[in-house]
Amino acid sequence: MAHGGRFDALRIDDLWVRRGTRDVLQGVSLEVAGGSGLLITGANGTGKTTLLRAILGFLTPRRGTVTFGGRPVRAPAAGYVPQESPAGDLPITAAEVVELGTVARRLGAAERDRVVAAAMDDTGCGHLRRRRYGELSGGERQRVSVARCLAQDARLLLLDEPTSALDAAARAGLIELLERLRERLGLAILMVSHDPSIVSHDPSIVSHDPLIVSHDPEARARVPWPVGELRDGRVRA
Amino acid sequence: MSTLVEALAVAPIARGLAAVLIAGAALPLAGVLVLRLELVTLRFTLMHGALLGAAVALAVGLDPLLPGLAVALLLVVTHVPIARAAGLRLGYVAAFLMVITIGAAAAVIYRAAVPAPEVFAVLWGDPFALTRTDLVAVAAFGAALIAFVALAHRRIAALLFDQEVAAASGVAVRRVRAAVLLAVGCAVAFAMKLIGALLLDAILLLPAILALAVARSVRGLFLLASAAGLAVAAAGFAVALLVDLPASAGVTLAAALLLPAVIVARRGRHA
Repeated sequence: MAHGGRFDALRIDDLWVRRGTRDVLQGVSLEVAGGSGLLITGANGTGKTTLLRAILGFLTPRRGTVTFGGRPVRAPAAGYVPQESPAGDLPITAAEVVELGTVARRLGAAERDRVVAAAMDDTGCGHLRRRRYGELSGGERQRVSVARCLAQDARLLLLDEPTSALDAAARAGLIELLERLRERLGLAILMVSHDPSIVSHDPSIVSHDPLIVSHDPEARARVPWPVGELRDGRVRA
Repeated sequence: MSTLVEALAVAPIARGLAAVLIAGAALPLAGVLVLRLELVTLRFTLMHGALLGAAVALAVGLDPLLPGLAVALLLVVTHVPIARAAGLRLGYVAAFLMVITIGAAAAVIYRAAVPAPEVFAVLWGDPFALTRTDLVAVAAFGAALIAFVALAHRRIAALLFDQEVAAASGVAVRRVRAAVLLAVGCAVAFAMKLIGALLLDAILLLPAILALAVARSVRGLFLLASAAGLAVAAAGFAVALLVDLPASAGVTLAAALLLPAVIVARRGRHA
């Protein structure tokens, strides 16, 4: 399989992306090591989604390189959780959404079912298998989307504003889930968000054990990763 | 009942029933794709393209069927590159082509003094007029369409879900979308001549709408669309024979009655 392995790193060097007549990204450079997370904040319109779409290859950069594990990012190495909840009113079950992650994998029916079940159990949404995706809450949908990425065997997770529609409890649950997966599977995780309330300013809550990140519910709803800010086309610490 | 049995002993009617049942099982699968991928405009573009091809053929003394199909298929193949080159949405390009093809057809009909009813006959296929070869052709395209959806249903589901998620999951989105467009275009263009535009729409779209309203999964969606198509085709054909209606009107009537009935029943169950 032509994609990265455990602890591969995402590396972006001098990335320039133009949309229309404007250079939205102007020399972005960053690295997310395998087994670590990075939160990129920034106001609306600063290019956070553009950054993720460029990483995924949906946009062609004017300049610069994006690699994962030393090679160009290719599906299905990168799992993508988009900002807009897709599908709308498409009749599709949560299990079928997770199964989409297996499309490019050569799996038999039994193996595919096992992969889907394991991914859903890992993300705490196994009980949602037969539920219609459109009827799930925001937090449940995000868990299903992360499960889809796991079923895809993605080693890099790219999340676009995943907490924007969640209450504090659901947000804390999602962040704890991502921390657990990062730690256990060695995933590299890049999350972008315009929401400053999820930034942890307290270094004490940054822990290797997500389950003891904090007992403070407010602190648990913050992302315990390094933070960069996307401003004027560049990522600043 | 004996009327039905007697009627089915007549070969053209038996062939018509077989064609309508095959179309009923297969076309709603394409209908799901037409509705979810917003290809309704394209369906009208194909109809107008078929008219243009038929008008040109009649103007030069050819049989209108193949030129009509050829223009329709040409539109299927070319509208995506045109949209890409022009930087426009597919729907806009389909609407543009829809208008210019009917305009060109009108010009050809007028300048070459082609009898309009002969042109429009291309659109009004008659299942009772099918030859054995026609029936084989209907069966072949029906089987091909069912096989395509069955074999590619996960990739199609990914496309219907979200094209960027599909691409990130490793689906060759452009290729699958092109295959879907070709399948839909062929089904529409082919079936239009064989079973007629009205019957095509009734079988293509109404069961698909019903399935989209009721299904809870993608698998269920395709199965339900196919089953509903089969049911309205059979019921509509029987009604048409019993009360002496065109088959297209009978099937449309059956679908038009079934759709609200199912939706009302579903609402009642959820109330």
